[in-house]
Amino acid sequence: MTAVHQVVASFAPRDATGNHTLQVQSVLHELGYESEIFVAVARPEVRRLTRAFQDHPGGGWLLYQLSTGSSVADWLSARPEPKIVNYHNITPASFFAPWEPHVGVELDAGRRQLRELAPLSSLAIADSGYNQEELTEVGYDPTTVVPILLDTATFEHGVDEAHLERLRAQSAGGAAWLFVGRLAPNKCQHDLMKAFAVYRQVFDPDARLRLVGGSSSGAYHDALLELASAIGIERSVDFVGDVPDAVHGAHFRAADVYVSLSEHEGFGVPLLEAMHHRLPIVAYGAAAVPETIGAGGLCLEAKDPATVATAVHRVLVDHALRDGLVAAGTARLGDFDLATSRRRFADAVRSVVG
Amino acid sequence: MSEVSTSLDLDLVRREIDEEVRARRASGDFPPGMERELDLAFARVSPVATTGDDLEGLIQAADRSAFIEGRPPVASRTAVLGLVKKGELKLLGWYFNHLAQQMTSFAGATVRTLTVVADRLEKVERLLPQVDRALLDHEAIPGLDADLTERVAARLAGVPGRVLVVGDGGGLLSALVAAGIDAYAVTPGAAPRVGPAIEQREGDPFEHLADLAPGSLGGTIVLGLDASATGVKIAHVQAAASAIDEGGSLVVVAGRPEHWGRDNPVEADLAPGRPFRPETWFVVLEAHGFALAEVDDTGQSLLVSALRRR
Repeated sequence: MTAVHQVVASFAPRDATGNHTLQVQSVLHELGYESEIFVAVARPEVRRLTRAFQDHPGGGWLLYQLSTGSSVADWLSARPEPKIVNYHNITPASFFAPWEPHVGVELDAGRRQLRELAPLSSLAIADSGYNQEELTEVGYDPTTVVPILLDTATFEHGVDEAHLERLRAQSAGGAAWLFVGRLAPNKCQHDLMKAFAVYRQVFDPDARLRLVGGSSSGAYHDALLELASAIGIERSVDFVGDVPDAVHGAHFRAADVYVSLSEHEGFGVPLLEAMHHRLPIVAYGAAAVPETIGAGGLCLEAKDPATVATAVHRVLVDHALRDGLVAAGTARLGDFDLATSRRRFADAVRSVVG
Repeated sequence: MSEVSTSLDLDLVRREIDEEVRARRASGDFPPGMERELDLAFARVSPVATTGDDLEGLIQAADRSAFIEGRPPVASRTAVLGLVKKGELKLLGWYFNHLAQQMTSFAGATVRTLTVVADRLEKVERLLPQVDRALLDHEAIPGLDADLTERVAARLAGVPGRVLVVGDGGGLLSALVAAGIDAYAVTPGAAPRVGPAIEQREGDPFEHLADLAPGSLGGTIVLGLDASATGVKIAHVQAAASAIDEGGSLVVVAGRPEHWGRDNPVEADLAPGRPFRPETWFVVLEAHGFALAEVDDTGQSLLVSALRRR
């Protein structure tokens, strides 16, 4: 039996790359390949699904899920097996370097490893056209695009109704802005806070901003807390952190609008989650964000606070626009149908493995 | 693509949002300094390399963090653990202090360096040519007669947005408004009112221009720059390039270099700058994002105009 094993730097549950890796494993099994997941690091909850990369028995194909720098990539480069790279993008180090120099070094290493793997790979699969362009630039050939394998049923986890009620009561008639993503300089939560401050000042003094997601940089997190205090919105911004699925769902249900001013996304799963929860989306059109949103949200070419605040206000008061965006979002979500994406992924792998 | 998404004209929505932003900026809902203050607030809490140009604030932030406390906290919720920490501290205290002294010394030297740099910058600023404005006040904003006013209005007709008049352009402002151009002016002092429905603001015209959001103007006309230093003239062009939307116009009314020294001997001697020649305007405008520069020589003055490049 042909083996196509996956190699992952860091494997975690409830994580877009982690879920994708499990879906890929299932696709590979359906194709009749032997397939295990070899990792450098795995969270305890999912460790039983993996093996240490040093235990790889040799032979077959290696499919690398690439999203950061890792020693596993250097190991992979030295392996004789034919390789496929599945690229989810690497945040440019320039975003992190001033805040967390060591993270910047890791991300730079990731970019180096990406280049080094190019001539060694038989195929590279990108989850967006934006990512595919980066692959082509550094010499990958052939390349193809298959969206991240996303089971939208996982968005339908139960909602903590008591928490939902608390969130609604807390909003007290003001609009609730939501952004989901780790606190990270490339996600630009600071720009969200600036736009939100203008929105409160000009349009809705009772509005709330909820930032759901853990922290990728302690220094950036601290700066956001200080910024909130400096611009007088510390009582109306919630740094929610990582939350259980049921609370996660409650935040989407309690929100009035999903706002993203991120400057770097290789794909953007929370955007799809917002579409699933019928939230209108206002987003800054950077990196892969416009491609992910398609016509399913309002993409802005600028993100100065006045433009963002005005755009959110427009979406919330113009009900026809709001309903249109929600309907368009639902339609757009259909383009990421899991069965179709699985079939495309299978075709791509089969084209080189046979 | 669904029927719903195709029925939404998101380009139109974006244009309408841009229009609303322009209108709210003009009405004062979004004051020019508001967004800059937000930027500075973030700059103050960011690492130096991230953003911002508030030198004084940055030095204060560096100063606050320059002192490294060598004694770690030893308080603990349990008394025994507190004693253990104190014991460890005694063993390691000399080493911590040694490291902390070196780091504090380095940080202190860095802050001191920054302070010296700031002081020297201030001295340089003081040494720059400073001339009593009263001596330059009779500098002619060259003959804004009916013909010139008409030419200016023609250059600004149909621009995509509001037109800002920078400098003392009272007569010009009313003529532009009468010609159907959505114009307003910012002047350093209280300017005589030229009409009840005409917007005249008091303030630093250059700061206003520099604070405007990118692409928020359809055009701007700048007067009275003849005696300004070269860097000031270029800074005006750069600020205009940022503020003017693509396809918008920049118009500069300038003195003719040949006449300026002869007609204004006091300025010619005392002013930090002198009028550019037409060739210089072409180079400066081309270099800062403008195209199709034209210089119209009216005999007494130069009417310089250019379109913001697409």
